[in-house]
Amino acid sequence: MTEQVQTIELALARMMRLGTNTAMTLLGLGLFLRYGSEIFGSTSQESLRAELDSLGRYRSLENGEWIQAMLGHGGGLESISRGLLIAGVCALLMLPSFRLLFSAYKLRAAHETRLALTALVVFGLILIGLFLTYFSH
Amino acid sequence: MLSAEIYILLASLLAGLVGALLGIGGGMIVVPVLTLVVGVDIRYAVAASLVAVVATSCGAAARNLENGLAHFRLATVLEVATVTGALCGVYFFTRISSHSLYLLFGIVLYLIVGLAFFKRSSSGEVSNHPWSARLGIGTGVDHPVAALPVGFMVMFFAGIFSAMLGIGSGIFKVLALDTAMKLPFKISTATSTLMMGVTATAAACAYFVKGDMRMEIAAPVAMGVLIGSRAGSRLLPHVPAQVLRILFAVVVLGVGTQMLLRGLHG
Repeated sequence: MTEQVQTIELALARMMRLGTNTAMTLLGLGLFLRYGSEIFGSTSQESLRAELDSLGRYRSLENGEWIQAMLGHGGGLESISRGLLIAGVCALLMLPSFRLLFSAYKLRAAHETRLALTALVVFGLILIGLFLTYFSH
Repeated sequence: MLSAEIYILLASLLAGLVGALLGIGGGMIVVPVLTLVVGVDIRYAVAASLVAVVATSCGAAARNLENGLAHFRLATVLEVATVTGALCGVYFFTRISSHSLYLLFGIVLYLIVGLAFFKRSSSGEVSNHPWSARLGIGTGVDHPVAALPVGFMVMFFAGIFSAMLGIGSGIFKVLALDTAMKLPFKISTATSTLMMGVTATAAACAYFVKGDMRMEIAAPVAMGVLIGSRAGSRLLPHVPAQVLRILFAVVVLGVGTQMLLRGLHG
């Protein structure tokens, strides 16, 4: 039983390493393209203050509109870089949840039912938080 | 002129480096740097910092799991408490003012300095708590776990702080695992790192849905802190421990005072 848990730990470690590296590659590429888009002039060079001030407008957006706002309205490189940044951040945020689901599945197979259920409860709590925030926003 | 993201990336890199050198993680440094130096709203800084916590936790947890250092069973059980705490933290976060967040951040930093210099009791013979045995923790080759209910309670509050302040709350978790639950120090830090990612995810997902997660801030922060903390952990063996202790106290107290002042005077 313990050996099975150790095997699960190794599988989880591999999954987490792969996930982190993938997310970081996406973020790195997104940031590179974003700076590239500024260097090659597809977007205007904004000053630090103006850019930070513009953050305030997102707070007044209606439910759901922020996704559109996040994707931006600029074309070409800017949209691609924003897409990559969103994909990278989402990949990072999904990684611990995948870890929970994967460990629940593997623990169930190893007849560690109680621990598998606990992992599912934690995942369920994350989902509850997500839905509660979405519907109360 | 450098764009905002490059400033944020450089600031996060430095925060990750200092955080790893002082063993306090990136969040505790990155949130004050983003708010006090770069001028980012504390709500965006907290959400972005949580992404960095997830990134550093996942990277370090993979290493710890491979080396068999993390107490996987215990982490899974305690994550129920940390995630519940994080959800409560999200609730409080949406209901208190930014000034109160600054004040709370300052107070928690002062508390952390106090806890860091707290003398840990040496663990002698450890017996498994009845709840631990019932949940199948601390049996077989696993380390026995004492005082599980105390650990559960501390983890709940660590989850609240993590969600409200964008930090990993590692110092609270390690204290509970090491001092209350009598786990060896290395196992405590590895288990705490493993739990951090899940706790931060619970809060970060909620902020993402709420619209507080700005990619232009979160992406460079995650990249910067991760690279900085990797560089910091390589530098760590070459820096004397005494220098680090003094640096830790000075940096954390200084940052805590700045956050308190910002909270009091705006």
